[in-house]
Amino acid sequence: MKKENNISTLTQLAKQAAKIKISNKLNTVADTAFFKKKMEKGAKTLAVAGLPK
Amino acid sequence: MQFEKYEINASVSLLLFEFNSVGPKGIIKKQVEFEAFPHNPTVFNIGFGDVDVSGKINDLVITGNEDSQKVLATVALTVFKFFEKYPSNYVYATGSTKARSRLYRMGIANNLEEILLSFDVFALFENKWERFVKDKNYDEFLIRLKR
Repeated sequence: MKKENNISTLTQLAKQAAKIKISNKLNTVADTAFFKKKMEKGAKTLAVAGLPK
Repeated sequence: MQFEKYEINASVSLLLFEFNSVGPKGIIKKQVEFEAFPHNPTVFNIGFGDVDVSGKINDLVITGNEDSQKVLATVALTVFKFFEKYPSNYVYATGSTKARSRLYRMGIANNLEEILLSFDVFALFENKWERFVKDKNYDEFLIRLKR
């Protein structure tokens, strides 16, 4: 079952990859400011809840 | 997700993605960004929104391009791509507003069977992560490749 799932994942990834092009120009555009609130919220959650088993 | 998707440009790092939403409001550039939490570097926060005229991302704006399903499916595609490069990591998601968190929850719930073929989806309930179940009011989500 797990092997079937892995194959399913890989198949889906391969299908989806065609829609994505790699662009070198995007590397300098990153703007993390709009993340601030969510990052703080997520950090608090992870500090309390940790990661799932 | 079997919905139609937009074509995407991705950074080499696969942490930043860009696509154009096309609809009644015109062509709106959108970005999706993944950023690692400093104290939990295996977990990446995902955020997305419209790129304004100054080049900044605004994740509070309502685009009004009547393509929310297509946009959500495109964002889901970036998650697939992210895990291609970072298969052992987690993606943390929460909405910038209650309404947007609800949109994420509905997006997951409506496609849960398909999503679970590839991913483990957790949601925060009473300060603990539990497996995502439909019809429960969650606000924060954690996704990893299926183990």
